Amino acid sequence: MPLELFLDLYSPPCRAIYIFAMKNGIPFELRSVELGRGEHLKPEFLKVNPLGKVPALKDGDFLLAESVAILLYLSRKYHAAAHWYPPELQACARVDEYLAWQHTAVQLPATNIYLCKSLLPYFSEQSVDPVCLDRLLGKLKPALQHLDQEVLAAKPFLATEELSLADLMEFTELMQPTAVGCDVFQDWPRLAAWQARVEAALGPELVRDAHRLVLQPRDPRDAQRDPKLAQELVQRLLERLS
Amino acid sequence: MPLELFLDLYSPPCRAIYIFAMKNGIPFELRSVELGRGEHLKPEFLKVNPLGKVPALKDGDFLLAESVAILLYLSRKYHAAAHWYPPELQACARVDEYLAWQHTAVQLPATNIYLCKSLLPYFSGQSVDPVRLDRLLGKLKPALQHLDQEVLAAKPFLATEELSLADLMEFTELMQLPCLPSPLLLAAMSSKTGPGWQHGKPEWRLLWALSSSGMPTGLCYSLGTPGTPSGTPSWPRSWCRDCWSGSAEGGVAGPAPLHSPVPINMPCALRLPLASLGLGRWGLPTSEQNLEGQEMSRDDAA
Repeated sequence: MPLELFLDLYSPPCRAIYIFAMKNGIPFELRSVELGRGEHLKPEFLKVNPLGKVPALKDGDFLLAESVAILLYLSRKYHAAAHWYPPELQACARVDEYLAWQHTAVQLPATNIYLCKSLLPYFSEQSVDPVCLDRLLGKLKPALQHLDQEVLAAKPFLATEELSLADLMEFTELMQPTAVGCDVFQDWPRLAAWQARVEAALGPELVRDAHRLVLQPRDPRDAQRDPKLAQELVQRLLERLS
Repeated sequence: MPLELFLDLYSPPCRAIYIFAMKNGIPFELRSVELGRGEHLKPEFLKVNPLGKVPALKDGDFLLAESVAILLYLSRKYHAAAHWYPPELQACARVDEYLAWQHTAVQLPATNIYLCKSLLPYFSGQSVDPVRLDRLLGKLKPALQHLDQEVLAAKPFLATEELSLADLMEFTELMQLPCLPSPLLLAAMSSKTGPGWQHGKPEWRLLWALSSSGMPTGLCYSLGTPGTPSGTPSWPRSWCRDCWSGSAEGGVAGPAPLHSPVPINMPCALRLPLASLGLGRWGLPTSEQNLEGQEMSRDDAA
């Protein structure tokens, strides 16, 4: 049984896993789970992850959720190059520190910006709420400032002197609001330089391939093909943004 | 230079680290950072963690934040028993999965409940906002349901068949909720309990008192406080600092047990679950007399 990765490339953690697997030549079968079509809520996917979230991994009988856990699993199983998750105690701790911090400091606010700017208007057919967007951008700002002014002032990558899982997660995460018109790099020159550095290290073609979906504007007509689903998703999104 | 751990035991992740270090016999110096006094915002602490958050670790020149990172670091450096973070690929992945999930699924909502129910009313002098509290409790419910109905239906611990870092983190996180000091606030407002500084309106100093003082806290449910009749404590009264100190109304006055399984300075609401975690006999460094099992006097235990 081949390794199966259940991903929606609209999702930043999914892109991180996709890029990692491709970059490291890990053989896998991509199982596309289209969140926009509610496929994460269907029984078939809930068998893989009862929490109904992507990314998810299926390796024979072994099921695993959570992007950080999946990246570490793949890294260990396929003996990825040491720079991704260094064996040295302190370097490894630095990557762990970042991977822990980013959940609430980066991922949560960056996702909410994306929901507010793109998904909610898409499904609800309402225009973007500028007050909400502004508030959410404000929640991401401290993290951007910290990375630009403190972390990247001292080194070229986020955790160590080389590209690691920390950079990969951050990269795909910050591409999310940027892809829908909230350019989070524009006020932060070191962060912008870091972004270019990471893209170069990952390979521009692979980055483009992984981001092809999120960089395209959505067709509003697609959302209304299933109005009931659209309504349900709107409720869920509003709940998340509250 | 000894290992320094910058902790406030009010904070669940700090307690997880404290328990882990104590349980594993890791030598460290506790650097208390009292959030209630704003010590996390002071320049001295910001040198340790510029983000101004506890827990933080200082090992020589090496500074580290984030409880999960600190637990993994300690686990590796001090070669903790394998069950904490198993070497097997899939077992390890299970622990990683939990440690990642809990940030937003458990820690965030549980902390918000605590802030809404305890800290905000405490500092603002306003009563709890019930609508908000209800909404916040609703945000934690899916996680509790998942753990109870799915995860723990299949195994005795959260990640593997044995206690791991996942259980430790979850435990201290969920313990934040029953410890909500409603009796505490009542006790603080009551003239019947405690010394002078507890009289009248709740004061921020009370938070400090909970974490570092040997004074009775009013947290014990065996205490009869106005508006809160004496309940039946579900833990041995002899473990309770309030009861032991003899200040409990109707509580049992007497010396501490010979082998206190948990730090005697802790309010009792925290202590039972620590012991029931099956951590065995451990505690704060006490006099040799205590460790030898000799009877402690009241003064010794304070």
